[in-house]
Amino acid sequence: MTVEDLLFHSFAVMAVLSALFVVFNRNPVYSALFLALCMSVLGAMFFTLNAYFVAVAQITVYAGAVMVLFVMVVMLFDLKREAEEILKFSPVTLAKVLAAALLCGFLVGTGWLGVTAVKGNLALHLAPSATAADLEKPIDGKIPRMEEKKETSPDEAREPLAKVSGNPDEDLTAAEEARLVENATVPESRVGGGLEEFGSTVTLSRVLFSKFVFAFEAVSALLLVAIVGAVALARSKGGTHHVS
Amino acid sequence: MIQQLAPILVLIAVVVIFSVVAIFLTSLTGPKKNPTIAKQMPYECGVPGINVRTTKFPVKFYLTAILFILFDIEVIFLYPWALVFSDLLKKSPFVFIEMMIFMVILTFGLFYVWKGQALDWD
Amino acid sequence: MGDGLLEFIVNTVKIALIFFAVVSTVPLLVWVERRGSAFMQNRLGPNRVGPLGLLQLAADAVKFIFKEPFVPEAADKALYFMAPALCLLPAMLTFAAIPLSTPFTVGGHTFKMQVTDINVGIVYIFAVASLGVYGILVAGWSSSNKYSLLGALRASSQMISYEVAMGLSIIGVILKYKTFDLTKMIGAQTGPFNFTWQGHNFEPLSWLPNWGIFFQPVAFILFFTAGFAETNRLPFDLPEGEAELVAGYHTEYGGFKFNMFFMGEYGHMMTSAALITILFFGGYALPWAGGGPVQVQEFWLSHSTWLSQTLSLSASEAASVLTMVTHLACFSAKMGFFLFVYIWVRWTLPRFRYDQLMDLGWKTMLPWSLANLGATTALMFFARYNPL
Repeated sequence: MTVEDLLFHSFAVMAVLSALFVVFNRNPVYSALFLALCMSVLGAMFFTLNAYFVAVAQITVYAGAVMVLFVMVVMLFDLKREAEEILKFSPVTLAKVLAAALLCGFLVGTGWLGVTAVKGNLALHLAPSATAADLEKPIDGKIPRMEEKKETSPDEAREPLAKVSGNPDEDLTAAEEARLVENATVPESRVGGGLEEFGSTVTLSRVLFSKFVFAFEAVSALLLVAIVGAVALARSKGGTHHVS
Repeated sequence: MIQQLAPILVLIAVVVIFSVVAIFLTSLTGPKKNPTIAKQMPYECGVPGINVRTTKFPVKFYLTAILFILFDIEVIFLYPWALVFSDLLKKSPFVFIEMMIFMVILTFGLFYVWKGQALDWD
Repeated sequence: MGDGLLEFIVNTVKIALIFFAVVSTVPLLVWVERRGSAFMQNRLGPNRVGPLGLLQLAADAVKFIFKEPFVPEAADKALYFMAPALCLLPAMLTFAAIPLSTPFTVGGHTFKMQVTDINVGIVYIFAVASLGVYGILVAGWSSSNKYSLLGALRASSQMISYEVAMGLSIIGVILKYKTFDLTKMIGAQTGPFNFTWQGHNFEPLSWLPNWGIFFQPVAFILFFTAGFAETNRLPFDLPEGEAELVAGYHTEYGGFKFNMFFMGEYGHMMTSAALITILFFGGYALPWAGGGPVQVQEFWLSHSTWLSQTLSLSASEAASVLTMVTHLACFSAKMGFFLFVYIWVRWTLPRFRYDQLMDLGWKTMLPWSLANLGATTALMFFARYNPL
């Protein structure tokens, strides 16, 4: 049981427990707060998977913006009556729950929600052209696994200082460029996050803004639609909202 | 990764333990709980409160939060772009153009919100 | 494993030390605030308890400890007790990623002067800062006092409005330094003022240090202003508005829980001041040209024999310790200056009305940060794009 395993299992238990609390709690404010906790724990789990930027984005957007909206709205309304309505046991509620369970089972069974587990290495997901043989090919003499960098000897006490100085205007050579984009595995990067493992923010952004440009622009259109929709909704509800 | 995450978890543990211990200790040292009626009421500048729960809350708070979500997502997209802008410029000016398209679309959104009086506040 | 365990224990002690250092700086800041405000308002501040009134805050802390731990009757007890910790936690977590000084080596182990050397530094700080809204909301709601709830809603709306402007304003800095890591940003701000245009390096005005403020002045102004709004300091402290909402979201709190709200607020202030120095003023690096951390360590290598003899360290280790101390002093001086500016502004400017505040956030700062971003991008495009 390494430290990574321990961390993963603790985060997993926390996420599942908070999700269960969200569903089974009678108090809607507690539900919303537990959902915020669940989002934060998911962000931490992304961090353990070396997806640093996705972790930070998850916490900023989901836990820090969307859930704040939820919590604010839930606090403004007195939802005791609605809560009792939902928790009443009736045949209609049972039918709804069963239908939802059947749908989930169908999706998982036909593999649309398929979870591909790659033993210890997510490189296959980031570089779809790579095959299993590529996993064992050493890059720069090192097999691409998640190694921890050990601290160096005391004679290299000057090293940490020398590494942090430097001119950000220096450019990458063409060979480093090509490797960064094609392989999506970055043994050492001076630019950006300076990470030793793959999945660095630099790699993510290079791929996002070159291969997935259309999705990126589509997101901006989607955000515009959301802005217009929010203003339209608020306008149709009038000025103040009466709470009884 | 562990070397970066573990100190954060330790810090969370330290803060939580400190809060719990400090509040527990201070609850021991204070005078015994003496709940009088005046102390139990919600504080409304010292006069007995009207304490009516039917309060109107403006929908502007909700609108602010939604606009915050949308502009926050825009900012999240801008962070990795800023990281690779200089390097990708060497290949083509496309990286500049694509982000300008993104920003212009969202500036239209800001303009719409402004003109639509959704930003006129409390 | 023994070696790893020793490092783990030492790092835990370091984390606890940094936490208690922040917690103990809060009384010092409050003392500066009270004496400084008194000086600005032409009156005496606390000057009876201890020399220059320095023990006043210790006396106040002791007073807080002996207060009755009351809980309002209709309050939601679990959330009521959790709210002060929820306010303190993001403040401490944001301070975790701030590099206080250069790393030093003792006994073969290198210790970094920050809680965590996270590689997505600045973005992590913004992520955790946006979690600070929960403490306010939970505090306001759990007091079951409609004025607390209203104050909490206004405070959280204010915080989230200025977070957008704050996030946008630092993108110019990230464009320039091409990194999220704060230590690398400090490293890039050493040496004299220089920039690269179309492949040639120019060094005009080499007496200026290579600080971020000379590259991104508008971003500095926006970030500085947004920092006031984020920490609910005057002129943006309407949510705590003493004249309007009694004490806003922490009306129903007393004793040590109230103290913890203030620790959270001053912790946020310290993080803002630290971020301003790191992003725009070179962080812990010394300001004169050629004064990068490596040069400072070279200097101390030849001047540190007294330390290596007293503590029986090797020469490079003693040099690294002295380098760390030098840079820590420099960083504290810069950060202290900005904290003083925070306090100075509080007692100088009047408070904004709430609608003026929100107008400023959405209608002034957001367009200005977008304009700053556009201008910086265009400048970098002309500076770097070489179609040849």
